Amino acid sequence: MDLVAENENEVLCEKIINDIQAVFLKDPDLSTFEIIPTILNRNKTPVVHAEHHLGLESWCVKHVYDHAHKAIIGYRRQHQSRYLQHSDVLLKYLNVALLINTDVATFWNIRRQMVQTNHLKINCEFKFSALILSKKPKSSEAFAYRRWLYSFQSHDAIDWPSEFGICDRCADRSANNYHAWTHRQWVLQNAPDLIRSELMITEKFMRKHISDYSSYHYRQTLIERAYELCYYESNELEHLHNLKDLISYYLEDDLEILSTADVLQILLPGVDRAAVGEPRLSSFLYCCNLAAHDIRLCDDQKNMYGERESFENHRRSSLRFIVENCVRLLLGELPGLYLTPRTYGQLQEFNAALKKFDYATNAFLSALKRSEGLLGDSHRKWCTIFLGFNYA
Amino acid sequence: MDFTSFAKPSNVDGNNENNSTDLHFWKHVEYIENHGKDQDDYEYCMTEFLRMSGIYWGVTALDIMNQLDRLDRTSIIDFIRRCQCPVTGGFAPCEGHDPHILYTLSAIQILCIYDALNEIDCEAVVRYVSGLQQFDGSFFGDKWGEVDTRFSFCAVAILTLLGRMEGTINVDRAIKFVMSCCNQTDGGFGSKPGAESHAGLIYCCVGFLSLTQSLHLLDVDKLGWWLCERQLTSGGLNGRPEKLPDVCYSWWVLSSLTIMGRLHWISAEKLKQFILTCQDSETGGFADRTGNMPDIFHTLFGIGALSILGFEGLKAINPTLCMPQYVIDRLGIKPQILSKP
Repeated sequence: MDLVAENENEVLCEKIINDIQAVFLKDPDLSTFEIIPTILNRNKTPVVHAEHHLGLESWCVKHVYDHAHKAIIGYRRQHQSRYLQHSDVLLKYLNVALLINTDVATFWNIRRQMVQTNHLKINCEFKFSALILSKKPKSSEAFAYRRWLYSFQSHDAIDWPSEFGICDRCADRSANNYHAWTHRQWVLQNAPDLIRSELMITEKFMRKHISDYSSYHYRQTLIERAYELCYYESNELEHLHNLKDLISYYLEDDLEILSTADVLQILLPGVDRAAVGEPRLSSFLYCCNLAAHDIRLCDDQKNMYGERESFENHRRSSLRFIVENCVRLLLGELPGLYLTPRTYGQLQEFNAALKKFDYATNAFLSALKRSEGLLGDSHRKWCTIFLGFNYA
Repeated sequence: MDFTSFAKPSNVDGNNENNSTDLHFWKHVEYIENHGKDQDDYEYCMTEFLRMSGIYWGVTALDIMNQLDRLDRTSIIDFIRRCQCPVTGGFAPCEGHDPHILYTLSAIQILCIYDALNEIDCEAVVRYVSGLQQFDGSFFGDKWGEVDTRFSFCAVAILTLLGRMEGTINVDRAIKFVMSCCNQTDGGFGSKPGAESHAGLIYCCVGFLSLTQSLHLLDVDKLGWWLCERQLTSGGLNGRPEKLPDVCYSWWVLSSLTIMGRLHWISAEKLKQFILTCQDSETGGFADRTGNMPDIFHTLFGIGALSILGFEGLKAINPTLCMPQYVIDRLGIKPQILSKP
C-alpha cells in the first residue's frame, strides 16, 4: 500500500471506530453485537445501530481491528506505565478490538486496570461483557472477567438470578458450552438458595437440547449439591412417585409402598435412622426421587428419539447416585446435616468399599443389579467398573 | 541430509484422493515453515495474543519431522528473550502483551528444544510460577486470579523442565487440588472442582500426575472407559460426550492413554485414517476435521498423534510434555508412565 492510501485507510478506520464509540455513548443499553456479512464497501458507514443492536459490516473488520490493535499496543509502548491516563482514547479502541477478537487477554487486563483506577465503572463493564457474550457465547475471557468484577461487589447486592439468565442465553445459543455451564456452577456455589428453580430450568433445557451433555452434567452436580446441602421439599416427600415406581420396577412386584417409612425400609433396611437424622433422610429420599425421575426421563427420551450418549450417560450417573448413597448409609456412614467435600483419599476408600460391598444382603440393590445386568455386555461391564457389581 | 526416503510423491498423477494413507510430509513442512511469513495476514494479526504457543506448535512439529533447521533459531530465541517480563519473570505471548503461565510454558518448551535455557533468567521464571500457587494448591494463570487445572499442569511442567520441582511449590497441595477436580461419575477431570470432564483437561491432569509421580491416584479403569468412548465410528476422537471428532483430541486422548499404559484400548488404525483425512493436500497442515481450514495448532497435534501411533519417518514424542523424546532424555527427565497390564 502506498503512503497516501495507507493514510486514507487510517482516517477511515478512525472514523468507523469513532462511530462505534458514539453508539456506545448514545445507547448504554446495547444488547447485542454482530458482524454483518457484506462483500463490498458501499460507501456509507459500516456501523449499523437499531433498537439496541449494534452491527458492523464485515468488509471493514480486518482493517478496523488492525488499526485498533496497533493503537492499543502503541499507547502501551509509548506511555509505559502511564498509559492509563489516556483511558478515554484507549477505551474506544479496546471496545472495538474486543468486539472483534474476544480472546485477547491483554485487552481485558487493561480494562481491569481501568476499573481498579476508577477509569471505568463496574456497571458499564457488566454490560460490556454481556454484549461480548451476545457475539461470542463461549468467551471464557468474558466469563472470567465477570467473576473478577463480582469480587468487588457485596454478595447480598448481587442479582444472581440475572447471572443465571446470562448463562441461559449463552447455553441456548451455543451447544455444549463448557464455559457457560462452568460459570453457572460458580453462580450456584454463590446462590444455593436458587436450587429449586435450577432444578426446573435444567429439566426444561435438557428436554429442549437433547444432546447438550453439558447441561446433563450440570444437572448431576446440581443434584449432588442439593444432597450436600441437605435440601428437600416437604410436600414432595409425601409422594416420591418416581422412586416408588423405580422400586416396584426392580422388585418386579406391585408392592403397596404407601408411606415414606416403607421406602426407607426397602432402601435402607437395618440403618439406624435416628442416628442419621430426619433432615438427612428427607434429603436422601428427595434426591433419590430426583435421580429416579431422571432415569425415567432418559428412558422416555430414548424411546422417543432413539439411543443417545447423553441419555445413556445421564441414566448411568443417576443410577450411580442412588446406589452410591444407599451403600454409604448402609455402611453406617453418618453424613450429618451438611456434607463437607470429601478428600480424594476418602473417595478412594469408598470406591474400594463399594467393590467389596455384598449386594446380596440388600433385596432392592440386588434386584437392581440383576435387572441392570440384563441390559447388555457393555452396560454390565460399566456396572462392574463403576458400581462394583460382580456378575460372576 | 536426505529425507527423500519418506517423502511421498505429491499429487502428481491426480489419483491421490482415494489414497488417504499418505502423509503429505513435505507439504506440512512447507506449511509450518511459511506460517507467519506474511505478517500482514489478518489471521496472523488475530492470533498475535497466542504467538508464543504458535511458535511452540511449529517448532515441535518440525522437530518431530526432523526439519527443525528450517526455522531461524537465533531470531526465535531473541523473540523469546524480548517476551520475558522484567518485573514478574513470566512470558508474554508477544511483545506488548501481558505475561501468563500458558505462554511461559510454551517459551520454556521452545528453549528446551533449542537447548537454550541459559539465554533467559530461569530464576525469575521459578519465582513467577511459585508465586502463582494458592493456599488450596491451585494455580492462577496470571495475576488476575483465574484458576484452571491447565495452569496446574503448566506450573509443574515448567518447573520439571527447569529441574526446579523441589522446594519451590507445595506439591502435596497441588496434587490435592488436581484430584479435587476428578469427577466420580466418570473418572475424568474438568477445569475446576465439579466442572465437566473434558479430554484436554484430562490430558493436563494425567500429565500433571505423571510429572508429580502420582499416577497411582488415578482410577485407570474408569478413566480408560471414558477415554475409549471418545472414539467415534469415523475413527476420530471427540473431547466430550455428544461432540464431533477433532484432530487435537487425537493427541489429548492418545497421550493420556499412553501415560496410563492403555494405548491398545482404542483402534489405532481407524484413528490414523481419520487423522490423515484431516490433512490439507493442497496447502499442507491439518484441520480439526476433514475438509476444514488447516491451522498450526491442529498440525502439531495431528503430527504428534501420528508419532504416538508409531508412524514411520517421525521422531518419538513424549506423551506427557508433548516434546520430542530426545529432548526429554537430554534433560534427564523421566515423567511417570504406567506399564501395559
